[in-house]
Amino acid sequence: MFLFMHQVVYEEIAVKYPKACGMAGVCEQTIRQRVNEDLRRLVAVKTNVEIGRDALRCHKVFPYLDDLLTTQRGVLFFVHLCAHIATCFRNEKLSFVQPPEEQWDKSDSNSNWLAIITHSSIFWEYAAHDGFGSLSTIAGLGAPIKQWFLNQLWATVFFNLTPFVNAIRAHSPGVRANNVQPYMRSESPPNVLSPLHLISQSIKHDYVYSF
Amino acid sequence: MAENALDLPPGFLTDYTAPGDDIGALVEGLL
Repeated sequence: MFLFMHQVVYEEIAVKYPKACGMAGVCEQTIRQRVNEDLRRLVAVKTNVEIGRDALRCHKVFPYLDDLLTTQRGVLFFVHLCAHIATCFRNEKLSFVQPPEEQWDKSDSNSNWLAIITHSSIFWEYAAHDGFGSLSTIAGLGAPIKQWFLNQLWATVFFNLTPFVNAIRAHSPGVRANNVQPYMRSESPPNVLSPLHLISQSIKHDYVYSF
Repeated sequence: MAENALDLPPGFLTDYTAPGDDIGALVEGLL
């Protein structure tokens, strides 16, 4: 599932920054075709089932992937959902959410920390329970509806911010704004699973090969 | 505000560097 997400993120970045991804001179359609081929291979490895292009994008036509529950469209929407949450946290500054046991500054690092542990929590929830395929329905709707959904999601979070923050902090105990480490380092692993950070790192490092 | 391919806020991927750590620069180069 993580590899599937990696390919979807890679596609978005490679289309916009082909040179940085070693795809200089390659047209957008070719990049997308190559990524789609890798995604189909991933599904085949996972399920022993060969699927077509349309099935890759639409969960409804391949219900036999219940153990995977991953679709390209659903995963891409999940990435955009994560970006939306990160942006909302950054814009709000959250100066009023002040745990009594901690000195809470108003720097951007607090917003990023909350966004990272939120990403980690919802990634685990989708990976372990619902599956990213559950997002494919709304992901297939028009942009205004998706934006409305994201706005409603953030509004719900915002008006329940204290219990929300307490819940996601409990999911990543010990991870705070001053010690959060989302990247793999030579001397230590990450202390929180942030898919977007690990994917960005793996895309950029030369020793991480494309699937 | 967001300008990169994933529409992440600036600094979200690059704020986590340590002395001697080049990860931030690597990711900055990517985006």
